[in-house]
Amino acid sequence: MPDIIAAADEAAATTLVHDAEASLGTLADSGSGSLGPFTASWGASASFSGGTIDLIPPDVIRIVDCQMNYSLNFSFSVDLSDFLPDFCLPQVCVPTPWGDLCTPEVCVDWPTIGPIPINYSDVILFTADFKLDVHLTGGVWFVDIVIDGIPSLQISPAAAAILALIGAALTPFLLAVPFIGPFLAIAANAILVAIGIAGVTGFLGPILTPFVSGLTFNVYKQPQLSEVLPSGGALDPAVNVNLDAVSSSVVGSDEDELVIEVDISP
Amino acid sequence: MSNLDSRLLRYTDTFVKRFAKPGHGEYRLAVGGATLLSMERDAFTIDVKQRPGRGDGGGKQHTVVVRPEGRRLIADPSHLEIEAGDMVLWHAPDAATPGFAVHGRMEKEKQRFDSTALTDETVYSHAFGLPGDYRWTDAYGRDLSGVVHVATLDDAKERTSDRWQKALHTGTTIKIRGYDIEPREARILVGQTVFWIVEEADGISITDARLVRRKQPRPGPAED
Repeated sequence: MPDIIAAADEAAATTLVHDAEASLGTLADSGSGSLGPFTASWGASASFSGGTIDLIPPDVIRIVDCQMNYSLNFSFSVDLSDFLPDFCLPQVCVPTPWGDLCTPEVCVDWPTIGPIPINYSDVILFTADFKLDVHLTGGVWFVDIVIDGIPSLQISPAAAAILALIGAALTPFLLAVPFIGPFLAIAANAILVAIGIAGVTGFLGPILTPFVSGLTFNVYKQPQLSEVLPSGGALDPAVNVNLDAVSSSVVGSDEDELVIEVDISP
Repeated sequence: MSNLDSRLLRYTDTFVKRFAKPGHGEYRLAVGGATLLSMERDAFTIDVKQRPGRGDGGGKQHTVVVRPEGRRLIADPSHLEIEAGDMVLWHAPDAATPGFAVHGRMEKEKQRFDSTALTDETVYSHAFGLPGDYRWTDAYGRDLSGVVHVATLDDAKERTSDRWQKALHTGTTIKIRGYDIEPREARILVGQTVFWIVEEADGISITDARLVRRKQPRPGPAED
């Protein structure tokens, strides 16, 4: 029979989980990935909040519509010669007081533009089951909930928005290219088609998925050696107890509860 | 950033000099701008011969291609034989060629020809790649200036593109004779070329006014 039993119903468990989400703070990562035919360098951060808690015996905490709040910044360059036709300024002849003068034909060298910076922030809702994980690490007992599997993230709406952002971000870079004139729309369309929704989705997935893979929230922690009465002076030392064992489960009776049991010794 | 500047020739520019009198001339190619950051020690040459019976009418045009070779610039051909009254045009067809200048002198009359300081019977041409209003002036402080209005295309329809392609074949000329400039205002489409025909001048530049911060000293005599 455990010495201490604490039970939290779904309302209390919701508070515990929401607090645990806030305590996790903001996670950050960076790297490079394929954005359609381009390579983009990126930085991303994510934090978690909200969701409805459903306790499912014997050991599942389901978070419905957990919010992943993320910010993404990335940049990429474009070699316009991959998207624009060869173009040459033709020979131009003018009369001068000393005879006709003609410039030679000159072929334009389409440049590489960029890096084009994109910044995007959004929220994704996901639902996932979390399993209880109790462990003693560094003299501290932890009761964690660890995500079970990898939830499917709906990133298509974000992909569409990001593609539109890319189109807008391209424009000033293209406008600065000499002689692009009537080729500007061709270049912009060709670049966006080359990337496509699929390209953005393929870029986003590997960035966002790691934030939820192995996602762990800590709902309870306590040092193994815990003080139950503070010291009252030099002649009245603190009273400590040892947490010998901690276990956790989801118990269903008239209502489902998250239960934490603790064995102690003096 | 505008690159309208006769002091630094780029791949969409040309510099032209008419050689009216016979003689032997040498010139060098400078890389990097109005101040001589590097000069090729090997000179390129032009021999101007007089053909008997030739009037002072129109001459032929000869073209010199400037290209990078390793870390230097070369003129191709390196030696020209022309007739009095002919014109020589220098240009760099490769966009990778750094901005350059032509500095030369005719042996006999010690007459200079210098793309950074345009004198009598020279031409500078520039193809405008971006729309806008370009006020040009002489970077050496003379009271010479004008405006080139470069219009963008109304839309990207095919008809506009065909019209634009045809327009690219047409050049606009601006004549400079001392302090007389005709016309002072020119209107072109993006992609078209303007030719500044310098009939008479004492070492001027055609420079976007935004590139001129303060009065520049005129370049000195070409090195021997």
